[in-house]
Amino acid sequence: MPPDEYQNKTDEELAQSVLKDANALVVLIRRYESRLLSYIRRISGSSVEDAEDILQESFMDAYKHIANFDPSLKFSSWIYRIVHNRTISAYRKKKKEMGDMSIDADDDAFKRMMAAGDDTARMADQNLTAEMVGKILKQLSERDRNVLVLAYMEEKTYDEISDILRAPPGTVATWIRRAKQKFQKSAEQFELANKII
Amino acid sequence: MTSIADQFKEKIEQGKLPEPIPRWRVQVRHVLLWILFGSFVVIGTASSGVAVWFMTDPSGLLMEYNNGDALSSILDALPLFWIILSLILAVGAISIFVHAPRGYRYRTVVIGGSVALAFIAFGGAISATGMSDRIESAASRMPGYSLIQRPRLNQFIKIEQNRIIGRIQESQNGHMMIQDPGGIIWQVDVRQCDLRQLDFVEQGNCVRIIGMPSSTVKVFEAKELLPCPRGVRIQRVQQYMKEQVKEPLR
Repeated sequence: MPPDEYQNKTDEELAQSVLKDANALVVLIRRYESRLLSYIRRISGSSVEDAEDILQESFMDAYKHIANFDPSLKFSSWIYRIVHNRTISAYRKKKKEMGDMSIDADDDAFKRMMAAGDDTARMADQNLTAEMVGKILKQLSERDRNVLVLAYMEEKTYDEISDILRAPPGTVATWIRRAKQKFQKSAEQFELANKII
Repeated sequence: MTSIADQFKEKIEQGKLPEPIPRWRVQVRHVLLWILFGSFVVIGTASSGVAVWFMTDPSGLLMEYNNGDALSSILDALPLFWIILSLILAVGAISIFVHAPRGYRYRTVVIGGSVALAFIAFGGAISATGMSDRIESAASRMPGYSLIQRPRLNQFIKIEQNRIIGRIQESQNGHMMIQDPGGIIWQVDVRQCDLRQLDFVEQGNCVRIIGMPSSTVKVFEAKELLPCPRGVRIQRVQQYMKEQVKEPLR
């Protein structure tokens, strides 16, 4: 059983304790399990079972390479990086077709995604549903989708996304700006296609 | 369905977790990475220093050997070996930095520009302090280096094209005795040359002579007297000539 004192420690302190006591990792896993599962499903459209497999392998990787954790980084950025790489790798390896993006209309993340457009009034007019947003995200390139999900659904800052994707913060800002433009364009085309149908 | 946290807890209790990589291995890897980066930078800077030294040689442009063709002279003067070596080491240093733990936070263009600037700036400083000559001299002892220098040396030793090179043994009254790399002593008539401008004309120095061989054996009438370009070392030329047994000097 992890000691009670672990509950009061920060993620970074726990990460540095893992080599001495693996139970510190159990506390970290409890803290991150559900949000990382959502993240995996958002970027890959995988089923719950597949997402759990990926997450389990990711935590195993994290444990094996815990000595690589840089305390000057946030633990969340580090674990997101591992999960991100595992997810991408799993889907490239299996060459699986992406499942539908998992987005819930009541999800605050969906609302933030809607607000990502430059013209929120125009976005509101388009009456995009969560299902439509999921389909639009699925059409975007892997990188565009990843940065939008991290920025608006996972609410990561540019610095955190930089640490997760291992890219300069300025480059991340450019990627996000371009991804938003593509999202907006795809949303307009999607809306138009739906009206014709 | 048990959560992933519970599954991990179970593995810990059963002792089924794999061994994590120890911290010392990670630290050793980081140290080795930075040592490698430092080595690339140091050697790259030295290489740039030698390249700058060659390229700033006032005697490096052998226009008189290329019939005044500036482009050929510039291309001949470029120390390609040292430039290419500097480029390879710069690319290596950039590549290591980009893959370092926090290297990704800097744009590759910025890293590349900084490395290039450092190589040129420190290389220039090395050249200015005279260390480039010693570095090039040390490199000349490496096997294979003479092969790189051969095309350059080739153009200095062509009696049939009225060119000789040698070390000054003696100089007085408009005549000079020089010993060429083959060991032959030439008596050079320098009365047509303006020696007042030639501060390199001292015993022991290497000189290039353009002129005309006289009908008298081992006598040369000089029209131009020029210093040897940087990096031309008589011992190296001698070595080169030993290898050119098939083409004896006429």
